Amino acid sequence: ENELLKKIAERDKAVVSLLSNPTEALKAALTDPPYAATSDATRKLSAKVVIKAICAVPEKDVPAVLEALSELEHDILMKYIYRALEGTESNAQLLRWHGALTEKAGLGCIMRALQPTNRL
Amino acid sequence: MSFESADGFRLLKLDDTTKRPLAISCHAWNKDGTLLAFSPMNHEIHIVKYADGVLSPVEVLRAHEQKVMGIDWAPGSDRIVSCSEDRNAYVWNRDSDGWKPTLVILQFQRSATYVKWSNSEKKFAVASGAKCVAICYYEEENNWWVSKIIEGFDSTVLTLAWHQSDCVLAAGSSDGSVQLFSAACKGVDKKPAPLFGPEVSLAKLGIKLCEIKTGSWVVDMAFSPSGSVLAYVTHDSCVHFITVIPAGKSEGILPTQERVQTIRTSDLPHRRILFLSNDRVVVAGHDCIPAIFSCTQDTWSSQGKLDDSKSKKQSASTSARSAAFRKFEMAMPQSAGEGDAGPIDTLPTRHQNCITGLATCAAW
Repeated sequence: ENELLKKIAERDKAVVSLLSNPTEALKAALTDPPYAATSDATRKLSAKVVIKAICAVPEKDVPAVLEALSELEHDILMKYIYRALEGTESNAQLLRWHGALTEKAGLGCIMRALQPTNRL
Repeated sequence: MSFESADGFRLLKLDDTTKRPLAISCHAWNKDGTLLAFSPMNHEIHIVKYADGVLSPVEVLRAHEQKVMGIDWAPGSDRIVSCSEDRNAYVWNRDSDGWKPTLVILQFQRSATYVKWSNSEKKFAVASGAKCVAICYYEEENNWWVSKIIEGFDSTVLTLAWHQSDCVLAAGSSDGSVQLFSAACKGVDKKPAPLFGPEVSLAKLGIKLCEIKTGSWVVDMAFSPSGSVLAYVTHDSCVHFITVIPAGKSEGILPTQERVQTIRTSDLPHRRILFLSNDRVVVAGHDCIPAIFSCTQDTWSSQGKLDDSKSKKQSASTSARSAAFRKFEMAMPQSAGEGDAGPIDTLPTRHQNCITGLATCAAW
């Protein structure tokens, strides 16, 4: 668990340093998803990193950024969006991203995000 | 029920009382495509004759006490096997009077979910909600069907697929696992060839050969006609392919997680998968539109959908289908709908609800 926390902290640093390039920042935020995390707090922390990257993307660039992500990254992002929506910050942005991502990756992506295994 | 053929033919069978399309839980064609057995989501099995685009009822088979979950028609021996929520299976033999059932006691504690004749039609396998699979064969001396139980699942077994050699059975379950078992029965099958090499013995019935874990329910699976590829669809909208016997070789490799090719689709989950040929597969499900995948040089990719979701008057595009096969689908009707006019909000696709069954009719 501590290992995972360390990795999340590293990811956080990487994202912050890349914020000028939103696509790269998002890709960095989506690396190494903590599937093995056992505590809710760890997962929330992980989601916060992704929220940071998401908020850094200007609204008109959202489709372009989604285009640049791979299929696997789409799935990971959708899982993070659902986790992040459990909180109360940035919900408007997250919902917008959810809509855009659904348009890009389809309902199949949502199905994969809702599976009980490999939750983020 | 509705089906499509090359010229966009479509047929609907209406329920007599409500005048709405019947929901079909399972169906099976006979060898030459003249007879169809299906169950309208209840305990009955309806046999209908198909000729020149018209369905005419032949017989209604009543033996099960609860919903019929699976029907399979053995093309060679012209027998039907059906399994039901009442935990039983019946083998139906046709004689001069019609179809006569023979009860098969499966020893299940829970409902049967799926049934399939083996390729030799000497035995059949039944999957169950009791986390097990039964392989049944006929014992001449005692004049009854024996059922052998194979356990090893954590949840309901949803689907089965016989390998072409009949000595390996693949089973998929809602615990997310795809498992391969040895399935050769002494006295019924010849001595099984070493499909996976000399190390892996297929002599004893029910030995687990391998297991692949996916993250979600394995809803349907099928072996390719040559038995070289196993394909399965899971509830997370993915289609998976694993080569069991590499091209050009006679010995297979036991499937492992790493060698599975997974295609993530953007559609709703599929319910059924069917091989049209060794390198072409059709899947259909909650999206009400069948989709095709084909294989070029060991890699599978999507070839698009069979229904272009435009107005119902257009006939389905057939370029993706081989002309020798016709594909038949069964659909569940939409539950909403008032009065006799039928469903008010109709989907733009040909099927109005989830596709629950796919079958090829080779004789056409």
